[in-house]
Amino acid sequence: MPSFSIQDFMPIFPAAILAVGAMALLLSEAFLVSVPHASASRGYQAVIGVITAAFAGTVAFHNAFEDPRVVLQGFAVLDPFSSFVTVVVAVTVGLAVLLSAGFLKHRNAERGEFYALMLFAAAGMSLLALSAEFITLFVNLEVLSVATYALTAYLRRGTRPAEAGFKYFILGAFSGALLLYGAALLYGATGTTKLAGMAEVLRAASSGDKAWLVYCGMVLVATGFAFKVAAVPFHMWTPDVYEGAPTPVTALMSAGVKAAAFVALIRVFVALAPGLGPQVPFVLFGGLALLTMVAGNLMALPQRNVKRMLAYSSVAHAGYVLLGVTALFAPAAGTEGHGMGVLSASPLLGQVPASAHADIYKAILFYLLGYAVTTIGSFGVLAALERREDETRGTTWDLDRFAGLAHSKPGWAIAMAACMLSLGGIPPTVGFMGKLLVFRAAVDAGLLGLAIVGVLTSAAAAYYYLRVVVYMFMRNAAEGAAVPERHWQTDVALAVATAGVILLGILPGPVTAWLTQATMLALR
Amino acid sequence: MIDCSDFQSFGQYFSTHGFTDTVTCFVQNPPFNTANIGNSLWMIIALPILGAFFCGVFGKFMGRSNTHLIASASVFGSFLLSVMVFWAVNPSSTVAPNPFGSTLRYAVGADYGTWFQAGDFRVNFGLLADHLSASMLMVITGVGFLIHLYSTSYMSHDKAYWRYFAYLNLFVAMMLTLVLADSLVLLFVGWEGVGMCSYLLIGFWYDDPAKAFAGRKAFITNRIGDFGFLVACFLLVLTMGAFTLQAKNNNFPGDGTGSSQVFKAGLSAKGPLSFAAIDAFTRALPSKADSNQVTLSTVIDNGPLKGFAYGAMVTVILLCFLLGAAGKSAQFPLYVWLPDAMAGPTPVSALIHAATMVTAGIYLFCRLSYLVVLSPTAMAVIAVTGGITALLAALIAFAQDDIKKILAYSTVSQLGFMFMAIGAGAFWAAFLHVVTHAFFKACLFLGAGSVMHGNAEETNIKKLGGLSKEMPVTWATFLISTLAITGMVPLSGFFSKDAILHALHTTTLEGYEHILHWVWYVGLATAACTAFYMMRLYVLTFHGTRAPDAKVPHAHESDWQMTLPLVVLAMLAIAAVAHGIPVMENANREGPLQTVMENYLHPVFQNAMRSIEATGFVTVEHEEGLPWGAWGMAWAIALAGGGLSIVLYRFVFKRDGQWSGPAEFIRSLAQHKFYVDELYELLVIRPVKFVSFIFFKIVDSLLIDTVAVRGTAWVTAQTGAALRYLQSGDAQSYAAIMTLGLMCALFYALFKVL
Amino acid sequence: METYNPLTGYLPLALVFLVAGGMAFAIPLIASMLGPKSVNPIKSETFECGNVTIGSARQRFAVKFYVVALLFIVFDVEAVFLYPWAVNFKALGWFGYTTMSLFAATLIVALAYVWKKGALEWES
Repeated sequence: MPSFSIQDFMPIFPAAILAVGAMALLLSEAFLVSVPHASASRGYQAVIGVITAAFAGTVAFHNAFEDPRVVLQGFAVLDPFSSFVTVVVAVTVGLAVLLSAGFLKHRNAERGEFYALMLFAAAGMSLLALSAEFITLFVNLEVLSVATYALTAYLRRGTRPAEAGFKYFILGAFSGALLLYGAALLYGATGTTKLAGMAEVLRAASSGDKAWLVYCGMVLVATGFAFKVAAVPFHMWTPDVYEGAPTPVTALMSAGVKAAAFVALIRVFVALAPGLGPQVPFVLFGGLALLTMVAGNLMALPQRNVKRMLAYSSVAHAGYVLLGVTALFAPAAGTEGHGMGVLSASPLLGQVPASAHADIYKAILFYLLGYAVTTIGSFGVLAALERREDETRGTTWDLDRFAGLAHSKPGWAIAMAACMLSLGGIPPTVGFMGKLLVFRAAVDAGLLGLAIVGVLTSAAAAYYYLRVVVYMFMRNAAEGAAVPERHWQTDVALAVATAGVILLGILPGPVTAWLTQATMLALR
Repeated sequence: MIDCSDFQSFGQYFSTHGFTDTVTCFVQNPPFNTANIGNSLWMIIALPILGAFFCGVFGKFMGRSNTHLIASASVFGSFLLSVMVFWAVNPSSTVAPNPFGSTLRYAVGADYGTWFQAGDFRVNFGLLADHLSASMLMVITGVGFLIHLYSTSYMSHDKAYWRYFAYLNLFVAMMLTLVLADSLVLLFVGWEGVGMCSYLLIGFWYDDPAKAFAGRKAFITNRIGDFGFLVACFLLVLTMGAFTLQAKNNNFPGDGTGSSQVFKAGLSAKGPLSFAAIDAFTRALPSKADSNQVTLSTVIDNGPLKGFAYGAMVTVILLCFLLGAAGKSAQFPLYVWLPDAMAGPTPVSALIHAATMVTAGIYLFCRLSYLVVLSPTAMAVIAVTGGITALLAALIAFAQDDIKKILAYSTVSQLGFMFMAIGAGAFWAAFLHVVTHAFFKACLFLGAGSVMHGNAEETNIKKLGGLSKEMPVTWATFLISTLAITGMVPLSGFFSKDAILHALHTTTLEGYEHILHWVWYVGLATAACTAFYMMRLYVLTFHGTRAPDAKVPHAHESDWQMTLPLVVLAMLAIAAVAHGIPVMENANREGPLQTVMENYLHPVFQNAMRSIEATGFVTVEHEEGLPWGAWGMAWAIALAGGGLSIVLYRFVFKRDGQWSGPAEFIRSLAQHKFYVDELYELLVIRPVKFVSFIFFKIVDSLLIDTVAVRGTAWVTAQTGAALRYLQSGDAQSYAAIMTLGLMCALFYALFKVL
Repeated sequence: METYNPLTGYLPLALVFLVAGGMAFAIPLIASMLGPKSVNPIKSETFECGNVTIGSARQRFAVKFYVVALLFIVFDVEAVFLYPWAVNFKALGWFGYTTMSLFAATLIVALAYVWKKGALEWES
């Protein structure tokens, strides 16, 4: 009979809160709404969603200062990474719910189920970030995935949402199966599904008779995660799905899902890597980072469709985070892994010190937070500009829609400009600070070549981000362009996101200080 | 020495002591605590910057009068603060921090910490106000405020008033940065800033291509000068670096205020480009010949300048600074931009191109006086440059008919006078002329603006005439200022110009015994020319009959916003006399009586004077008593020039008179500005254009633009477009690509293991 | 020394899969290879006691079918969890009781939602 204490359940409180909120919303939809198709009686639902997210975020913030420990018999961990990601997820889902309120009302499609699915997805993300065992991890990944599949196809009247949802589901199932298969192989090699146990067995195993099992399993698991974070060449679904999904859902996917999947990926591979040849995860993630940074940015370049452009940009940003992940596995000087061109880790500082790892974690987490805030803001403006009438014409997200926005909606134009600058990594925005931290961490780890590729690609990226700004501020609006409606929820969400983008860019100090403290705590 | 210890209030002291003593004690007893005023210096700059921000960003929405209020009020606030600073630097107890050991009296300053640092080289962000800066502050903010006030009326019909006032405020801020800087780097920020504002304001009416072109010309000419400035700074850093390594302990005074440790500590605290560092460096150099220390003739034994003597480096540095100063202060051969700069609004000409910015070069040399006196060669070159400029500009001014052009050339000419004074080591005389010139030249320009305003923007003096009755205030103030610039006795211009001529006459540079004497002759000739063309301008504009082809039959007097500054400036042009009369006992306790300005600036230039004593490069012949003879001669010359002009243009030629014979030839030459612009075109612009054409076509257009820039962009865009074909929208092919990626990874992993 | 391989225990299962899969392919294959083939129109006709087919066999099911099927699976899985708990009810004690109550409560919420939404009514 295992014994549990309240301490064991602390990490899952935020997820539990999100789930309870979601259930409340479901029941409210079933029992409280009298008129089935009117938005008027559903005004409180977005508020419930935001309050739930805020509550969960507060609890997660509180958890972030707990000593890191393994709980629930090794099935989950309570550590600053998972807590931080839960905070990011809570912020993201809160803002996404606010954005949805206006978006759905405009389409007369506001339903409690939508918010409930968002909260369920958030719960899945939170749990994914703290899973320390493969079955738990897979189940949580599915919780989050199934919710997002449903959300993607939520506006089922059009052809795009249905197609996007179906593609996402098929390819998601495929990648899920790959991950599960990889996990099965790892179980076969080690006899346990817990990460801690696996690490122990792998570290102890001197002979490599089952090495092929381990390596195949690892590659498969990496593939599964690479699908979720949209790394090239497992990104193919991204543009279609991001474009087809309701825009607030796209924001949630691109910010929250990515953050949670990255933390799970790091958790798995940091646990398993010590038992493997050091250069294999390095080359694996280095190659993914290289491909993702280059291809993501290149494919975003010719896009005139801003939503697709942002989808590719999301791919590119996954590449920058992968650059940070690669830095974690950079081989120390003098070991195998040199002389590999761009991927080589040149011994700038000799042995990578342990404190450099803290800097890398800090950089990755800060980047995820910054990207989440920025992406919410940019998709938020996009959502606010959308009109249902255009959706069949396929010009909903054309660059021309942004022409003259600075005159008709200066507030939105400023928000979008801030987000574009942030995505392009231009100061004084959070994107700049994030890129700075990641590139510096990569250079400190000796990844000079990859860092240079990163800087070059982000310079090229400035072109397509600034093009939006140019359209907003320097082109005149077309004749008879419709003025989009405003909703106070949208404005609040955009204001919060823009404030975050700029404040975190100017004063990143408090957050980085907190992250330093948290990573030091975790690595102790 | 006057005893001020029992000074309580003005009236109480006046009853027992004389007027002079009372005034002296009054200015030496500021009624506030001077200890912390250094920390507030930044506010003087911040106010106009804030004004520029508000005018530039919100000016369009605030409306005209609010913009006027903010712009003028911010400069006036600056003026009030400047008055406090001016007052605060007078007591001898006021001491600015100086990490180089010696005490910096009569100055306030603040160091706001490191600005930037690269290796050993550091630059602090620091401000310093001594007597020199404080006087400049008063001129800049005082005249600046009057010109803001004037502009509120002058620009009352312009649509882009908010832009104008934003630029004007920004200019004031930059000029204040220039004079408050305590290092060459921050000074350079102001230096470039005023250049930029000048460019913006000359091309203010950028719709007119000629005006936009004038702005560009000013900017490019200034850039040539800035190049010299930067090279000078780099060389200075290298020379001081070499000195730091080479200096011996004997180089530093043994009274405890200096040692090589203190010098190095000072350098690491303030950086080599701060004025305190240059001061300490120059104090260490000119010691009497001693094998045990580094002197001007010592050869540098380390670093990139190895093999050159320190004295030679100082000369080169000063000549580079001269290039910079010649650009900013419109000296030969870089003066060509200033006459064209008159394309800007007239108040701008008064503020920037007469009263303040163009004196930046003189300010720079006054600030670096201790460096200047180390090189008689450089001083001779400076004096000769000033002489050539002064005479050339005066001759060109002879034949100009445009009221603003004449004033512009007259400015160039007067700036030449100031350079002559620098060359003679009479820094105080140069600065006195800066101050008096600021007053009367601003007044003349504003008067010209008033004339134009009242005559439908007519600038040709031959189409004016007889304005003395129609514009009485403009006329009276213009007359006073004209008399001042020509050097009539009771006015300020007489004393400042005479101080310069007197210095030229009595000073000898070692190795260049006769140069200053020749320059003196040039100065006398220029003074006569000045009187001539200024009286010509005055007579043709204000007297005689009204020209038949005038644009308006009757001129109208301007508003009070325009005439009030005129009156104030004319009064200042008279009152500045007080600076120029020798009444003070010599600060060195011996020698003849000093003028107020010389006495006042003594703390600023005392290190230069000490160096002169140590090196003996400059010798000044002191006369006993007041220089009645020199005064008489200067006065007679001015009177002769002016009188001849009045006779010729009032009674002989009238308006349409033509010269004949050789005079006609000279006149034609002068009218075409001695073909200097054409010479530039032939010697500089054509070749540069040719080379740049080659570079443009081959390097820029072909290699960089087409191959490098567009090439990369094209390749990138094409790759992106090609990658799009992979994105077919077909879920099966997506899965296939994923599988392919997976296979590659699996293959790699297995390859590693097996 | 032979280390314990957790996959060894699954070897019979793998064999069963292999044999079953093989049979699935092999039997139709063998049948079609060995069996006599004589195809004629009369043989293809509907047999006398059969009914003539009406419409296409590829009909779409009503979406309600899937909902019901989904619900069936959900509660089926619930039963799968409930059995082991019931067997070990005493050993698991209050902890087990609380956990299972939460689990059941979640499903009850789902049931309430589905019921109220009308998903259980075949005819609406």
